[in-house]
Amino acid sequence: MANDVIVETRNLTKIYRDFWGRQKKVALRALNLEIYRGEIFGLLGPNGSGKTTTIKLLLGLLFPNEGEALVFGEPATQVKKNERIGYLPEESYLYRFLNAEETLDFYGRLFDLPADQRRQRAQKLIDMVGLSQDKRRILKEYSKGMRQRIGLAQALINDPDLVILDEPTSGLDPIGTRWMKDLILDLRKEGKTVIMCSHRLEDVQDVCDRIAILNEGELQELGKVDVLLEDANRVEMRASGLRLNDELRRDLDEVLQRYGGKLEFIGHPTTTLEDLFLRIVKESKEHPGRRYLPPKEGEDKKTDDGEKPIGSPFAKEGADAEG
Amino acid sequence: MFAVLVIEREPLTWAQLPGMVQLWIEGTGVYAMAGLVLVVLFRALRPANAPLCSAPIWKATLFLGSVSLLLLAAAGVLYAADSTSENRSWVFRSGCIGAITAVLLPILENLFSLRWRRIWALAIISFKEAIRRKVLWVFSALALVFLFASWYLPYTPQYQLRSYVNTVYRAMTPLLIVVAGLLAAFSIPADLRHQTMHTIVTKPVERFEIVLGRCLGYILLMTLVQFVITAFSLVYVARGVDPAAAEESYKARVPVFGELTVERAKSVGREWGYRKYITAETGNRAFWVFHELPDFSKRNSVRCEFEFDIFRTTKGVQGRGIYCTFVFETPRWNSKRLNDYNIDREWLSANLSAREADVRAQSERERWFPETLQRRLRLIQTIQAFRAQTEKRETSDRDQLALANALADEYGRYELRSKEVRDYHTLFIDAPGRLFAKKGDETSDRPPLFVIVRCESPTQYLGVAEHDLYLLADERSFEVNFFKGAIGLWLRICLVITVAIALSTYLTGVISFLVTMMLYLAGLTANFIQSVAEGTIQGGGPLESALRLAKQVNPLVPLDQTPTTRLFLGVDEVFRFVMRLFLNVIPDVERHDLTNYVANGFDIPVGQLVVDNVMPLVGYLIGWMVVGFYLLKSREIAA
Repeated sequence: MANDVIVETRNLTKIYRDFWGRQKKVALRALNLEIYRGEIFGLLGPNGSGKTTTIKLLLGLLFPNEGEALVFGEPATQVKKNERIGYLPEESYLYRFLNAEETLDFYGRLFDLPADQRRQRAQKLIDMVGLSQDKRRILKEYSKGMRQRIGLAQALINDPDLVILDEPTSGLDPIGTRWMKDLILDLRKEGKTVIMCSHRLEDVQDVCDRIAILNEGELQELGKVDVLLEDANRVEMRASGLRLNDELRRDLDEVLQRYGGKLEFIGHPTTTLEDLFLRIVKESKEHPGRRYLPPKEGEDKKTDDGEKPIGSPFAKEGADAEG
Repeated sequence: MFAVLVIEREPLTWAQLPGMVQLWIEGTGVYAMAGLVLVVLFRALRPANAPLCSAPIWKATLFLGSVSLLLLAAAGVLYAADSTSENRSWVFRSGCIGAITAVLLPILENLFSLRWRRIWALAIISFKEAIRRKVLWVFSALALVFLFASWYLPYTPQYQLRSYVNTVYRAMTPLLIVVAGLLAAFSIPADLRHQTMHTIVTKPVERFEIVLGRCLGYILLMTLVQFVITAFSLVYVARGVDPAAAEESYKARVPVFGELTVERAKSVGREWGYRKYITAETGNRAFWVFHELPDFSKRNSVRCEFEFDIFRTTKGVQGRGIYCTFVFETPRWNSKRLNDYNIDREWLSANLSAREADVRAQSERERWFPETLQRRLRLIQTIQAFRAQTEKRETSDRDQLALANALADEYGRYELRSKEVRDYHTLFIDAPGRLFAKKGDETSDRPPLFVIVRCESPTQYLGVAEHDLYLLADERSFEVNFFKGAIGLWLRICLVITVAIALSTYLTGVISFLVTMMLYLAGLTANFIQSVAEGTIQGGGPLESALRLAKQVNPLVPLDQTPTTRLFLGVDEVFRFVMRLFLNVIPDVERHDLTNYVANGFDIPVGQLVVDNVMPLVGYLIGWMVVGFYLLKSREIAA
């Protein structure tokens, strides 16, 4: 297991000081962490909790006051370790006067990649992040989501073993968010280690294997997501092929009471807004011309093709005329 | 005509290179030691630090630095004991070399990690950024100069070219310097502010590569810009050159300068002590000693150009200059033969067309000594041979040159009397080529040529400076020389870019730019600052000057030794000490101003460019690159 430790911090402390050396803020206090190969590790915490400071210390953008940060077994201040790291900052801090191809070529050069390799990788990554149509536009003209995509592409230009993502879903629409999360999961499948910090807890929950929760520069919680989120005092069950009615509720309550439990809630599950949104966008692509029709008085919501109304508030263009 | 090359400071030569290197080591070594002490103190006081290099190299740096510090301290003790001790120099020099090596060790280690591809990528980014952000449009301001400058320039035919050359260089210089300073000073701070630096330093990029890449990028950009502007300027300057101006300056003279000695030099009371004066009354002479000459032996004549200052104590003749005698002497000349020389010259003037038989007949008639006959036969033979060689030349000119060549061949001397000299006008003499012929009887330890100038006109003074008289070795292309002159400006651009980038690794863009410009402006007045720092300027330091102003005491009158005066003088001494410390930080900008050469039609020797311009600049910029390395390496990028 020791060989599988990709990132290790020992008593890592960062204190911000003013010009005269007076202490301004303890950003991180004695952080001890181990991040293993192939896992997706999430750093959580409120603003100013030390998440970004931790990432900057791991990247050598800041120097620790005490303790040390080791990446691939080397001190984080060593430049050589960067050969195996991909970093996506919170904002895509890229040169906005370059286009996508030039951007990736520039970062490829920084990895000392030969020209043909740079071209191949740039093309592959541009396709992967879905910017093939816009690869000749300068980044200044990109939307925030597009910049985030090209930012991710530059982070992957060297096919890194460790990917560090600072707020990777920031500025992305739900489709982009899902795409980013899928991509993070794909990176894990490829055996890469991912460290991400995010304010969007649902994103972290969806993709992370382990998380660390920081507050005021101190580590508050560390562990596997499913273990940390498990509520051992409650039991959840799902069933299908049933209609909910009072008799069923009463019977279940009796059974649960027999085992010392108590029925807290029973009802039909709801989907997430994200799933709903993604399904609608998908359907609109599959059925061009459909649009939402407001239900007439006394009618249930219905589409012109009589499909299930929930999640499909669309009607085909010109349906009224046809029908 | 008015081609004057005023060189107040003799350009450095290859022979001075060891001395230059020694001076550089001594000057830089002290700064290196001070810098190293600061770095060690800074790292000791600030716990949040990244290693500057690997642990063994850092240990070696500390060890070498400690030894050097001891050596420098020992040199100080030796100096206090005996300021003339030769040992002190060696101890001091060893300490300096050790300190420089100690400071350079981390950089040398870092050099192995540098990759050209990364440096080039960063250079290209600088290039693209400036172009795509349309920074270069600022240079269109020069179009105003090209379009309207001629409206305001005084038109005198022979001055035309010089005025235009000066104007375009004066217009180009501030614009290019300021833009280069702005671009360089704001580049790294902008990357830090916009955090684009984060995505760069998290790649395997050595921080020194960022400094080098930025420097290279902006230097390339400004080189391209300057090349285009220089080409336009050349077209502007060269179009429709007045023939008088072309004769004056549309060339690149290759001069051979001698070393000037003036016998009992006279002062005419001028404040600028550049020229020394000779006069007919005292009979004092000006000697130019030429220690090295190119091979002139195959030439019929060698042009000697000169321009002198005339200080008149009487009006003289309207529209006339004063008269001087010019004497060219080689090691073959024997002053005991002066009488023969004068007699032969008169005889030859009267018998230029004589044949050998005529000479022999005359010899028999006048009963010459045999050696006189032989000598005059040789003179006549030389004249005939010369005539055969130069059939196409005009007769009168050819005859005079033939006579001069014959005498020069025989005696190793050429004398021209009553040559009219006009105030600040470039005139010339065609010295006979046979003067420079090798005959094997030269005394090897004597310089190959002396040129002696005497003033003949009574009551007038002739002012001479070392570069007022020279032999014209060649005339080269003005166009090429114009671009060579631009190299001086290019070197200043490199200086500004490197200094601004080194400073911007720690300071903000605005401060970096201001400090760079302050250094540049200080460099323009480096001579004045040096004279203040060394206490050689009249009027003393700032407090003494203020006191003199307040008391209305002129700079030459000693001040009363009151307690206030002593206090002021003491404070000035401290001020001078501080200024001396910073003297080496100020760049010698004036050194790189080569406009004078181009404007006056003098070739800029490539060797001089390398030794006198490139090498001192490289020596100066090495220090700034080291500063850039240490500052950026020690800096927290995300702080």
